Amino acid sequence: MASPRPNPLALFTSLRLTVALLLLSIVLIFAATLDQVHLGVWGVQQKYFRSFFVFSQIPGTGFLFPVFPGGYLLGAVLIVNLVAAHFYRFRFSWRKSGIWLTHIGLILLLVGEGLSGILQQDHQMRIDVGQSRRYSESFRETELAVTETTHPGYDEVVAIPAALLTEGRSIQHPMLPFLVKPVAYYPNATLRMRSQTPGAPPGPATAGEGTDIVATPIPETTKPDESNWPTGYVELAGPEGPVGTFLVSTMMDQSEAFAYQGRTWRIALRAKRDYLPFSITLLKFTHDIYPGTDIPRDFASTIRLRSDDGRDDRQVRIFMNNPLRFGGRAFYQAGYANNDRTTVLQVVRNPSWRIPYVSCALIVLGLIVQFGIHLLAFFRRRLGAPAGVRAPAVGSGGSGPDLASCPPSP
Amino acid sequence: MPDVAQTHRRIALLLALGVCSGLAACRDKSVTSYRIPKEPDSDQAPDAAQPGAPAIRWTVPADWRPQPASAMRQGSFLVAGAAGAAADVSVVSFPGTGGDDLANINRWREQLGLAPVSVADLSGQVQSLAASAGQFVFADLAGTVAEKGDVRILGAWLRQPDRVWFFKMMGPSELVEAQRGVFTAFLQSVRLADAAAGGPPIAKRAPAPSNTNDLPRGGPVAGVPLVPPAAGGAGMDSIPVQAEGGASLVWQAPVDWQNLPGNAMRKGSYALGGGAEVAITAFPGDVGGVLANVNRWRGQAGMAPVDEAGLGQATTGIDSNGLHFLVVDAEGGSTSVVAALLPWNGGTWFFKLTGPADAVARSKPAFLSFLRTVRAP
Repeated sequence: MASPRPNPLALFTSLRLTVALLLLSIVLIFAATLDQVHLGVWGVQQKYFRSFFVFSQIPGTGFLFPVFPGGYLLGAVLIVNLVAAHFYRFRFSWRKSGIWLTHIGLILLLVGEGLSGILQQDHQMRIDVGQSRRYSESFRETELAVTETTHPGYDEVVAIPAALLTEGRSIQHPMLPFLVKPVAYYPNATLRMRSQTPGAPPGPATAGEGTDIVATPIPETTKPDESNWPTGYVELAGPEGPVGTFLVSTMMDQSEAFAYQGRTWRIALRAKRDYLPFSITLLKFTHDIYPGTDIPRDFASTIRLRSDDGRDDRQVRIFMNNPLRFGGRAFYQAGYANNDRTTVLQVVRNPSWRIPYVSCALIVLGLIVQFGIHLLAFFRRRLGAPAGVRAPAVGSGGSGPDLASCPPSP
Repeated sequence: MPDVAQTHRRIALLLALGVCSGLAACRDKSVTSYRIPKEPDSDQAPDAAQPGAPAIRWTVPADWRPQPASAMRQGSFLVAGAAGAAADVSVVSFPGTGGDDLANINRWREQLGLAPVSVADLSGQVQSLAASAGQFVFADLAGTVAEKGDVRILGAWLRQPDRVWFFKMMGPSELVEAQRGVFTAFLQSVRLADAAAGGPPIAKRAPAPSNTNDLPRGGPVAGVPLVPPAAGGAGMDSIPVQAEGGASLVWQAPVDWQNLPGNAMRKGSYALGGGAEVAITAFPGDVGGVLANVNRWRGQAGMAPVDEAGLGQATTGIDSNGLHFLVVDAEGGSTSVVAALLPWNGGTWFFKLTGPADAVARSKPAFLSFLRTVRAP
């Protein structure tokens, strides 16, 4: 006898699937918590939660295979499951409109969280008192910036994500009169002066400061109080031959300068930048502590915001829990440095930041509507109770008190 | 019975949305290009907006209309003329020398469509203008620019020890010609704060032949030994040295000394070649006193201990940078020790050169010179 065909609709609407997904989520969170010791917070987020599958490596080989569903997959299936179950089991009626609103709010909350994970960009701005900045820098991502500085008034920048350098393929860009050939890329490295590293093998660098520096790759660190220093060697080659091979590293504080075809250039590996259509000048930074302690009570940045289009030129005070929202970004007071002369602002760009607010509003509205409906029904029953009681009494020919016979109230 | 077909369509729609979201999750790896004002951290860029940059003041002529300053400009003005003519006035500052006079003149000549001049012709292009802020180099250039006609530049630059200021008016020839007197009066009104009070904060590259622990806390600087915190056993030379009291000593080691990994005990460690090594340590208190330490080092070199009376002959003093070192020269057997003891800030710092006798003998002059670079912050 043939077994019955599995019904995909029944699978997606199954509440058993909901329970299974929640259990898998618990296991995922537990495993990620244990692995946080090895990978750090960022690494765990990427491996366990911001992925469709958790991959593991076969020992002794470089082959990765999926061992567990990742956060994106569990979340996506959970949403599908909830939505399918909702549409399958519930029929719309005005009496249940509040429940519908609440559920839509919950689903929107899940979707918003997913979108935030995908779309949100976390950058930072470090500004000294009196200094102006018009770009934020990524915490994690790195880019190779090749900048033409020929023009006295502006620079032309070609930004190549470091992820492309790891692939090793040559990069051609219309703005560049030469090819960019990644020679080597290290996610983390140390730099030492060649003169102090006797016996070091010659490096690939043929131009710039890199010829005097030895770069040694070291394992990536995941500790929160340590930084990786991405480093690489990049060869530039034009139609007339190689321009040179440069050492680039986020550890080097200045870019390498060179000339090619009568134009001047600079090349640097740096934190990925997001240029803004406005500038922020730090006018004042205050850092208050509780008297007699080192515990910060408040730290605040008074900044001058100037937009390029001239529409905004104003002072803003950014302090804890009071971010500046401007240009699609939120600027939070995140820290300070340099003996309170430098402010650190966290710059969050999240196109979906309003979704949680809308979700919560929908949930609240749904609850109000649903409770309101119940409350109205309750009042209606209470107000209508005598009539309701009387009607059957009359209809049944009972001997209940006939309110109509009561004397009218004064 | 629910409308199954409709439910299927909804699920399909949601799955499609999920796929789209998944695709969006793939990080953008495309190359981007954009134009920006001169970057503040570029060698050519001004940094007057940064803290510590020299303050500048001037008196704005009455008919100059101030324009919003930018990351590029410390001052910007518009000078209106007849029939809608307008000239642009800018004040910009660059760290360093800002290029030589010839480069500056030829840059402006290029903007006016003029051929570059040689060094021999330079003297005919520039004048000197004495003002209260200093000696300006002044130029008055005229040329023809496509779509703009006759254009004139009145330009001047003023050099300070560590930066140069450019003042420039550019616009229609007639208007700029008429403004010449106003522009020079504007230059005369310029006041700069004391240069010493406001050095440029841009991190300078340390000269290559140096090997110093005296690095800013702000971050690594190219051109000096660079060891990130991530590197296990980071060279202590790249980390400000903290003594027990929290204060630090700084020094400059010879360039041919190789940094060795530090540890919790060592504040600095160098290999000098031939097996010789310099170790720098610091401890609270007097660490047993001078005699005990001298005899310990003599013992390591295979020499007999001395008593209090012999201590004076076994040690010599070096005074440098307000610090008093007591130097012990224990060169007895196959292993030699040259060590310096420095009581400082409630603790005791030890600078010790050890190794085979011949290597220590070769390195001793450099070591004694090195001691003279040690200073309190």
